[in-house]
Amino acid sequence: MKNHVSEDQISAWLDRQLSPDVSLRIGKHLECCPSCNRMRADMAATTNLFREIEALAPPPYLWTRIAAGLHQMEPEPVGWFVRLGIPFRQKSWMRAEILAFVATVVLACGFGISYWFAVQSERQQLAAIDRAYHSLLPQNAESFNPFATSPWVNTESNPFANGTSGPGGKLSPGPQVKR
Amino acid sequence: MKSDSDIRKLVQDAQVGNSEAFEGIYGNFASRIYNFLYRLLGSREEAEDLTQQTFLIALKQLKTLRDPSQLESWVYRIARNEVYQKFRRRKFDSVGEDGAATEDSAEPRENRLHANPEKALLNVELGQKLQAVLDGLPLKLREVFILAVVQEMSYKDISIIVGRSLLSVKTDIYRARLTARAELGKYLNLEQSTGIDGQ
Repeated sequence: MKNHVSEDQISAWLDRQLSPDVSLRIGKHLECCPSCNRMRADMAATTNLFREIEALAPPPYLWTRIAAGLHQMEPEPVGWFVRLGIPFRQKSWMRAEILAFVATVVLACGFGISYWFAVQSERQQLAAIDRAYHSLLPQNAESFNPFATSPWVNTESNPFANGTSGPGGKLSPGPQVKR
Repeated sequence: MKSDSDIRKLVQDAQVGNSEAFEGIYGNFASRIYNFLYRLLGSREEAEDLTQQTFLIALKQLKTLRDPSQLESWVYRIARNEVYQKFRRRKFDSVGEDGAATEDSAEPRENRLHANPEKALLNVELGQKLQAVLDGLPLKLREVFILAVVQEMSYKDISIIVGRSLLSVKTDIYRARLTARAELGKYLNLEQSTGIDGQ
């Protein structure tokens, strides 16, 4: 006979673990195939020997021992972190909401920290420019007159010396400033 | 064995610390777990110790069980893990373990004793032989074989308990069956003459 049933299929068939149509097909094959049927009979006999093993009852004192063990067990101290996690186990929607909140806080903190670093970096750059500027100035800045050596000071070539820049060719006097 | 809704109720009650619910859970699964461990270890004392350990862990950790309908698989998984831990410890332990198995399996079982002393003797002998066959199987095959053949669990549940694929479970059961068949040749001839069928 062709198309014998594989031995593992016969094993699963004996344990009733195949789908109904496969089980029916194998059952029909076994009825008309002596070699497969012999294999089935061998396996069935082995199975039956083990299924006839008498089940033992657990000793009656076993529960007493377990109950005593349960009483001895002290409740484990629950930390604040675990306590926070307890609602997570109960409701999935709460878990999603809290996770979303935590993600938002983490993102906000991330942005805040990066912004703070950017501001600090800009400040440091400005301070460096400032330091460079001050380092270029002479020691006594107040006495420093950039026009001291200018050719315009006390020279005849000073275009403002004869007051030609005013409306009448004379410099108009400025407003009197009371001190 | 209680229904799914009863089990669910038991688990919910036990999760809030109801001690009667603890006992209910124990009463529902103790026999199967104890027999599973006994067949796996071949020793009553060890089976008792591990049953106790299994239920202590299960009842202590019950709050972590999210789906009460998975209670049975979960308890079996704890029991199996305890067996694996025990075997790991045995590897490093120099103390022999041969005594316990033979001593336990040699115990007479009263309700197996029949009027016919020959048959009773045969039963005792057969019981010892079956346990010896189980003991001779590699642990990986033994656990699935016991669950499938002795405890008549579905392959799907077995695959959840042992954490292996359905195909692997199916193949392992088949391999264990072949080994057992080869070991039990003498008894098989006896059974076949009485005309036992599988389905």
